[in-house]
Amino acid sequence: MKEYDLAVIGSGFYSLGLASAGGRSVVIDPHFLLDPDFAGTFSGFTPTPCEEYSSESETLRSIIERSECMTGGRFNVPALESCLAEYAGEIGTDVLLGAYTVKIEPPSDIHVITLHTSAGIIEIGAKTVVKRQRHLPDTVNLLVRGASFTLDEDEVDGLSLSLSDAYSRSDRILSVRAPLPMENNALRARAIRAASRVLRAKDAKIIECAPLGFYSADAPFAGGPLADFERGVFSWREMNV
Amino acid sequence: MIYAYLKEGALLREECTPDFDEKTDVLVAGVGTAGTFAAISAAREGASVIAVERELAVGGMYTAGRVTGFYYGDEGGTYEECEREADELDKAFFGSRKKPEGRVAVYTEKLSEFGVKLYTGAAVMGLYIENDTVTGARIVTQDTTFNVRARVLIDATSDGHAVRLLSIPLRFGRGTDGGRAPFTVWSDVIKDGKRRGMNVDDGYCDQYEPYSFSDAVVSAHARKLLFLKDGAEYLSVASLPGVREGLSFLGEETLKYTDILSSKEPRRVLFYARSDLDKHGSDIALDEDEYQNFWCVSNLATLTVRIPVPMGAVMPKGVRGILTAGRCLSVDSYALGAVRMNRDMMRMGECVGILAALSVKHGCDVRDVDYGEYERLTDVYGCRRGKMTESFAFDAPSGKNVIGEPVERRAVSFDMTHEKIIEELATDSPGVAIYACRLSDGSIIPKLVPLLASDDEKLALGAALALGLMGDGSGADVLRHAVRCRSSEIFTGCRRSNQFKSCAAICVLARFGTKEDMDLLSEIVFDKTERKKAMYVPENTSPLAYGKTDVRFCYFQHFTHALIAMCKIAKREGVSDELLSRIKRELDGEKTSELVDFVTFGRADAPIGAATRAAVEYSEKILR
Repeated sequence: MKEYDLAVIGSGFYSLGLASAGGRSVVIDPHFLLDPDFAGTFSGFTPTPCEEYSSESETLRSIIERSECMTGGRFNVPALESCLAEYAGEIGTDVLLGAYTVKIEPPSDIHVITLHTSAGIIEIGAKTVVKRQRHLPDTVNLLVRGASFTLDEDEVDGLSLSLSDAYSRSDRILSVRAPLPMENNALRARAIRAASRVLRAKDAKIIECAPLGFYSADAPFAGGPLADFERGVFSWREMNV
Repeated sequence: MIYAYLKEGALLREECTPDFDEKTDVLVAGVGTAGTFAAISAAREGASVIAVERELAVGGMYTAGRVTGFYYGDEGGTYEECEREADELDKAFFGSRKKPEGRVAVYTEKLSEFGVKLYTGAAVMGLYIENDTVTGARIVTQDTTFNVRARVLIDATSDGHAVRLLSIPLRFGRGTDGGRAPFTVWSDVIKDGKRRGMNVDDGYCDQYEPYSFSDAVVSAHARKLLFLKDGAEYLSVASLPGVREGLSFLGEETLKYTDILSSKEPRRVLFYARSDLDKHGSDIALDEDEYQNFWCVSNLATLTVRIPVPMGAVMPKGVRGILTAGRCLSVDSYALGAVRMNRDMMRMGECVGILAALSVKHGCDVRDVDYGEYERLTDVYGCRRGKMTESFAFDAPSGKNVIGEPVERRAVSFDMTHEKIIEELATDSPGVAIYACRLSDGSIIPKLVPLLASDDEKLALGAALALGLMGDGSGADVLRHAVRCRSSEIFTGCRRSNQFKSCAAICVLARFGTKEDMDLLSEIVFDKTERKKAMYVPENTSPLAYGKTDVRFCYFQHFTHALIAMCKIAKREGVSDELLSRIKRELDGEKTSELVDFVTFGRADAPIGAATRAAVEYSEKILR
């Protein structure tokens, strides 16, 4: 059984921050995407002013610089994620994608986490377990295009709609939020239908619907990925205290 | 009753007396391209169906994998109706067709309409087996586990996650070195205001090893950024990685590529697939001889073939109560490359669902279903036969061959007269004639030998290759000449280039060559000035010179073919130890890494670096 100081279930930026901040750690996600909230939601299309996160963390700054090297100086969430993953690998963080958590046994001295993976059941031990994974989303991002239209109504079919710029200037992100979390595909279908109704009258259209929705309490827009990452870093320090 | 499950990759079996939480006629594991239609058709024919899918959406590679379009695969079946409905939805919502969303919506609706109980985010984690009959499964979700009793389980998980739990022989990869098809994570970019798919091979993976597979997926995502060009922006990656090959198992029957090439028709055909032998990897030098005969020497890699899939290929040998649907079937690695196209997987799923429903209806095992009734029912929906009637055809999906010439669809027969064969050997597209000789009785040999002295180089080389495939090495000098020329030209028979003429010559020379030929080949493998020679730089202006546009790939092909050919000759000539020492000395880790850097420089597709290393490893295996 592999043993870790920290096991984080869910692989969002907060999780990566925790995992990157020290100790031997593992990041576990049932999806085949590292940080599905970003990789799967188009949130990377929203400009994130890196300079706002003038972090005191030398580590974080070096990771951002590394990611900007990959993209010729542009901020790009997948680039940042891959650099985070690379960094995590350098300091000994393992990544386990496609892994379902079957059970977590409370420890005598260590937690035993039973996972279902492509190798069947595997067990890992961890001194600390942080569960960040959320099953049901309430918000879906759509990439939309059209003349610079505005939203006349911000609520359609019981769903809240809001617009933000995407870094490709001709496109924008239309975020569609349901009052309660619901199953991913049902939410996406509802969001597409509602958005389509609004956009049709404005000579605008949906370019793409993000494959995955996200839970708005953890909304990528709330603090930004880097802030989330830093919160993780500092949480881990607190845990260690 | 036995509970079978995997722990750390090892199969464990325990006695048990389970409580079943749910009961159903048919349990479909995996609701992807095949599983969706297996569930729909089984339910439509009256069976109760529970379906479990580990992704959040149904449709598999066609939706979550974002391969939302058809390449090969034949027409016919219920999927066509779903396509029409999905296109209408997509057009209404996006103004364009072929989005994953329309398909997810239509599939979900159809599954519901026929009463299929669907669980997403759920997977089979163990099987219940009694007297060699699968009787149920334990399902894991992101919150809980539960037991389902089923009369028939359909493993449509692509990677055989249920079949792996049976005590039957399993196989992964080709017979020579265990190599397998590369995987691809589909990604979308925005360029010039338009969304575009990006589909490049991301290297090799072992999806059954979760840590290394996770690394492979993360690396694949990151690599894509390195090849974004001309202001393209990264939009998203598919949530389901596109793995092309998984485990195969010992079935009641096995689909073999040699049976496809010899047009062998099984007694009971589950369905007819249609594709090229879509190998994907470039490591043809490591393939089996017969596959090389077709793919490389005849350069018929993209000839469209009609593939009758035997019914027994979806029945694990000696185990009742279980069928497979999708690319996990009893098949060899090469035939699998032709039986995994979206459209065929949908038709196959529909056929397997019907078979399962008939078994439930008559209370018999799937092996004992009346084939006449199965034929009649599948004919009603049109899912079994497909539309292709010929065994082989030139049928380029793009309508063009490798140098951009239009290709008109035409049936191909290997049953050719000697005169016709000789006529075609002298053309730029001699592949069918070469392989016709391979399948012939050899009576043409006396007519081909004199052609080796022809001034027409095309005819002489065609004759030498054809003779070689019939076991006659009298064209060896012509082959040596072709190798010396390092011809990076290709045959035009196919829509895409696969192998150069000199590589085809090396392939055949490997079977007849002598120690002296090892010097000729060692130049390619060991001489440091080789990569700078004219054939690898863009000087050849012939339209057939593929090498002029991709010189590194050209060298990679020559290197791997020459290395493996040398090993085959050395083994035959009893000089294995000498060559092994030289390989260890001149292709050690550092030198191989330098070679990998050379062949992969600036390339978006990852596998040829791994294939270069694999060739060096395989060469040592041959010599030992």
